[in-house]
Amino acid sequence: MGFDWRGMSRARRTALAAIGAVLVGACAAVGTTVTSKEWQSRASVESQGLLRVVDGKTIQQRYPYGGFGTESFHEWPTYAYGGPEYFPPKKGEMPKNIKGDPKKGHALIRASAKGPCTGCHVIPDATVWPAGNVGPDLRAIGARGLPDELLYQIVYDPRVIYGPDTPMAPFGASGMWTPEEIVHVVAYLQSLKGNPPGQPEKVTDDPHWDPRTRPVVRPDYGDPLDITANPALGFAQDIAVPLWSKAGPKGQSCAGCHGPIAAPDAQRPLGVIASMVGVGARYPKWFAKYSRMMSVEDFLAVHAPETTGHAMPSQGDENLAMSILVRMQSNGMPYAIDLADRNVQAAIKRGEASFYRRVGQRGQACAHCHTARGGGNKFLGGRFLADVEKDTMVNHPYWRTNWLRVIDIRIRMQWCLTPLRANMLAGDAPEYADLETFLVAKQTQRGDRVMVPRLAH
Amino acid sequence: MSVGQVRIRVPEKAKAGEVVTVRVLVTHPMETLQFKDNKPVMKQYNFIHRVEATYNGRKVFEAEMTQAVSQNPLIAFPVKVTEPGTVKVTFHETTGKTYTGEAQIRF
Repeated sequence: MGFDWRGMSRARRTALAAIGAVLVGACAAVGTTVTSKEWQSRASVESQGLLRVVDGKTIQQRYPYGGFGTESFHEWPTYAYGGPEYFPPKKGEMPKNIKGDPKKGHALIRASAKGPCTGCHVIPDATVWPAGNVGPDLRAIGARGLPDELLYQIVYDPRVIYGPDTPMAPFGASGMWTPEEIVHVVAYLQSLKGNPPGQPEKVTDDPHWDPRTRPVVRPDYGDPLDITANPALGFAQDIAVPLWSKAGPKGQSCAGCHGPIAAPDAQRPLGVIASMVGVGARYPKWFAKYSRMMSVEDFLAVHAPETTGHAMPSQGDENLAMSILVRMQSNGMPYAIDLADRNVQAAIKRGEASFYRRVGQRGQACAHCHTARGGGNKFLGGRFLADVEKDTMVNHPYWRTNWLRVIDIRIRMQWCLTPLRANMLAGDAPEYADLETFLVAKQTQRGDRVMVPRLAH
Repeated sequence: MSVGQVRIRVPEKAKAGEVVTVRVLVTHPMETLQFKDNKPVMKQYNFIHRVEATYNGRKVFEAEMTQAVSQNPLIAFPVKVTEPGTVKVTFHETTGKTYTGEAQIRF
């Protein structure tokens, strides 16, 4: 990636804050947006991320599937504009009175509740499966003669050593690891002398174990436009197709204004809606009426109740199905958001700042996994991480094969926050719309083409 | 998605004597074995256990399924067609319900 963002996000934040201070209250001003605090969410209940107190403990209500969990991290930064920032780099003090135990360190370094370190680093242990290579190979780190204090600081808060753009989380300073646990890990790392000394030990002949020799497989799940291969098509056919021509409480239907669904063609197996061809490729769009960017899903959630009177909360089944039906009308056409609109330009800048913003207890940003500086095009455990410069893949909603359901880009963003130990915003938050704008702008510049609904893991 | 939607894909046109592939997707949760305190829960599990297909009333395919088959099962089978007609696929669920879908093969 060709640009340096060390310190850039801070400068950008300061500039944004200055603009924001001048323009408070002036919603229509170019370059500002409503925030999730001001936006009345039209998302489905499970997408809103409501905080509740259960048995004296605050939890966040999230989706009941996909491993979202309910643990709340409300004291840590989120993507909400105007929220708290992540704490600055912090120096750690290695406890002198504790003797490190390499055995305990070995158990900790592969404990999934503690990171796991092995998601990003290779250690000489063939039972780690699958290992990742976002960070350096640690198999011979003990042969480098590094001081214990240095290794302690890297685990405590690596930003002190590597600078603010390091993709590694400050495991000690954020409270996820105790000083004693770090001392054990340091002892383990110092015991890794390599075999032969100084060289990474070859612990297995399996090429799949080593992330550097593991083949990158992009599985073929079949033709996404074949209704017997892609259940998302059946989902949209059952829900969205009848809904399109069904009159809402106000007596009007989608078809009443936008025209009926005509015979299908190769790219649009659920039928062609002539007035909707090319529309999905132009979203997210700036809506002056609401002072924010909106994706197809965000817009459906306000547009349907206003016109037909039928509520269509975002991330709900009807919203997802209708979004598929509308977006797939643009299949095969290049993404074409309005890059000349100054409000869109401002949204891209805000989205980019969010992309580099540290959130959650782990204090990691989108960029830490999805740029070449971080995990882009590398293995995080068994997952091959996308690089924002190469494949943003905003062909959402798509059929997620391991969850066996349709999800949109917002559910995808919300899901990322659970491993970051951050609370999610409501799915229709303006902050997410700006992030989506930043991603679709890249797709527009690259000439990527719409393909909805995708079939993917 | 409603349970039991049967979607069939066949070639639009076929020739006499041609072997065509019939692809069938059925929307079904295919309930899997549940455990409580490390013991399997004894109950009537709801999954598709049998599927059969006819062509113009003649049986052309029959298979058994278990809980090991994933949610929303997809099956594909070949049929040699000698005349135009209707392929009819029926899924039998452990509760006794059946779900049927039809598709036309034209010459």
